[in-house]
Amino acid sequence: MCDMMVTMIDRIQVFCFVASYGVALLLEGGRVFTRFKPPPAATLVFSIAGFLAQTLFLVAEARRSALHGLPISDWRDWCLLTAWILAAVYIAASWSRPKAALGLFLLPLVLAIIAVGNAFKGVAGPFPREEAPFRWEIVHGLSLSLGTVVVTLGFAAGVMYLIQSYRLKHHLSTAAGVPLPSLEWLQRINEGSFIYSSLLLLGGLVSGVVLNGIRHANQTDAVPWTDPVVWTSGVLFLWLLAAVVFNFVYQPARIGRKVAYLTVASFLFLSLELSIVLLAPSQHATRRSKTQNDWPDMRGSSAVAEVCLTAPPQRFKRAPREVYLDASPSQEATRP
Amino acid sequence: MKLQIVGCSHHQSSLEVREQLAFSPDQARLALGRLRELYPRSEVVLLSTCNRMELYTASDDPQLCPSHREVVNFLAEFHGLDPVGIFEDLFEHSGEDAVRHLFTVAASLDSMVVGEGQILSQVKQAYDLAKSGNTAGPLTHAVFQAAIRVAKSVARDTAIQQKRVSIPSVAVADFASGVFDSYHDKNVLVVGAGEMAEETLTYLVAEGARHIHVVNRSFDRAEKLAEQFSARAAPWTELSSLLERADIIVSTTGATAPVITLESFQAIERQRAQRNLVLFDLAVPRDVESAVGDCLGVYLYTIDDLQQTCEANRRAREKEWPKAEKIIEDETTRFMVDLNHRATGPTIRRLRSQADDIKNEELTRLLNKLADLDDRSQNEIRRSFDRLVNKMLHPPLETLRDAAKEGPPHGLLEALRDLFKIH
Repeated sequence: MCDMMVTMIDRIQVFCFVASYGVALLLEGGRVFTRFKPPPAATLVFSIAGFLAQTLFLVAEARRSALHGLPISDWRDWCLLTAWILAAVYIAASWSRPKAALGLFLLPLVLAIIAVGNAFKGVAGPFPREEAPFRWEIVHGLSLSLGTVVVTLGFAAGVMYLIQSYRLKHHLSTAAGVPLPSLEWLQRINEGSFIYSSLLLLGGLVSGVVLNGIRHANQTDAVPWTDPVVWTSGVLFLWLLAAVVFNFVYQPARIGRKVAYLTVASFLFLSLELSIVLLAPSQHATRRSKTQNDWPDMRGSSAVAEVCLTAPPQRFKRAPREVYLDASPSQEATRP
Repeated sequence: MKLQIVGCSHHQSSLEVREQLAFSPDQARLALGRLRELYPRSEVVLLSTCNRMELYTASDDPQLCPSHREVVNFLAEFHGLDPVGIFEDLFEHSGEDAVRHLFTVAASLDSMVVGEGQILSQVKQAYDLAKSGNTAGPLTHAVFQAAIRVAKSVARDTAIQQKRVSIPSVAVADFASGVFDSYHDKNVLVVGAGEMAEETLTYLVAEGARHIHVVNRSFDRAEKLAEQFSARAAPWTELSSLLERADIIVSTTGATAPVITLESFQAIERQRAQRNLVLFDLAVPRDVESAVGDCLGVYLYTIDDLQQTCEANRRAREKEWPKAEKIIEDETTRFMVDLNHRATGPTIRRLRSQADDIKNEELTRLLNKLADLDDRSQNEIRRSFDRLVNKMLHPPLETLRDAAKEGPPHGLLEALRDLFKIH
């Protein structure tokens, strides 16, 4: 029975939950833009189905990773986890506000993050698991993951705010067209997203610095401070910090369209950072070679049960040249 | 079986006539009591609202139900009016038309503002009043319960009640709710004490608004309006400071020049720190300079803006009209089939009873003659007689059932009564 369930869970593919989220998005679109009006509950049912499928997929991934000594810790897993949290937030929000077409704004973001995750397939993170204290990796990965979710939520709320504000300013009835939450509610989400994303990114940065410090002290592979991901994260954090301070000092910035613009800008910063991770040479993202997939069987070791959220394990203390499939000379030069 | 409505509504009667024929709740109770005394075997329900007065009478025996003229005479006598004078103002529906009319009224398709939900609660109140006064009976129970069910079905399956069509309701539901999530912590400022201000306040208070200030050049009128909504009246001189704190402003003065100018608003704009402000200018000529609407965080709506939305919503409701009418038509047909079938009940019961009496009489005589029969044989004979009676009655009853689907089978019932001498 148990084996059967495991086999069933193992069969769940990314396509399963992407399709569920896709159908939910289509139903949401149909509710707003067509005469065929599926009930909001239908959207919610498909979203929950997608969420459950994604949960089982992540569980199966974690199990598979543990069996092969690979924790769910590469960039794809990180994106899937972020998308999963965002989907959970979306379901909770639509449960409390069934009339608002939140799915129209949040589901595309969930799907986009999953798509980015797929683009990151096989890209490993920067910290060898054996060399860094595990708890710092959790703090680092989870903070950045939650920070990304909050910034993304703020972006969706910001866009909704700008649309709703435009409609109200131009005397277009809110009862017609896309049903959106009130400006007051959206403003609360925007404000909250600023404060919480700053705190979470601060947590991610500090834990990253600590991790790197440990690696420096251990004289193992540390991420250079000039790494694009490090400095863009710093810039993003400084931007959010400046925005929070600006909001605190200048009251009008806390309300109205200004805060919506700021949240949209924060998301653009975040997208830029993710693009750098994906495209620019960075030690935060190294492509694994095929040989790296042949991890030794670590079943039975104490490390097997551990599930790391950010740092993929690296087999070698010093990564040999052949493990980087797309390593440019400059990139190689930055590595010890 | 008879169901009849005599009444008047905004469609064919003037406000003056409707006022004369209207019943307060106490008067309605009294009228029901009197009708009970006059027509003890008749069921009565009285529906009286601002836009209609309808008296529903019903009885299994049409002879026991008051006629159209008798109802008119009663209404005229109750209100001290001339029956001839009001006869032309009162319509009469009976049978299927009466059922269809009640369903249409309860579903709010006959209302002045089509789709308004208040009429259903008024229909329920009228029915409850009749129940508490013991003037409702099997027929009125059936038709009013069906009407409530139909009204809910129309509200659920069509969008006819979803779009607002009055200016104050559109102001609150379509615009203020787009800006604010809740109203309990918002400062509402009413400038002027006109009728429109009163109506808008009704909706805002219903949505939870608590902090309300009324400002008017005539302080007495401001106080009067404020008293109705547990609000605070403020002198005209406080307008500027109240503007500064307001989240929602409803302006309805009769002033010939703008009351809120760009200059006066800019004077307090800094203190407002660009907080969202919803401004309803319901006055003609306008109370608020249009340039105020360009200020940051200000959402300004004039009566024309709201009127346009009302029209758009009205058109959207009209699109739903055929769907709602179909529901009413289907439900009316279904109800009438049930009702006609019920109308055949007494005749069928008497026919069966008569046949059973004959059967029992013959069976007793036969069994007395065949006294030495054992129990098994006696039971066989009883069952045989039962089958015989059932087979004899089945064709006429089946025909009666089929005929009831087409309408009241008066002819067939009459024929059955004559043929079988049922009295």
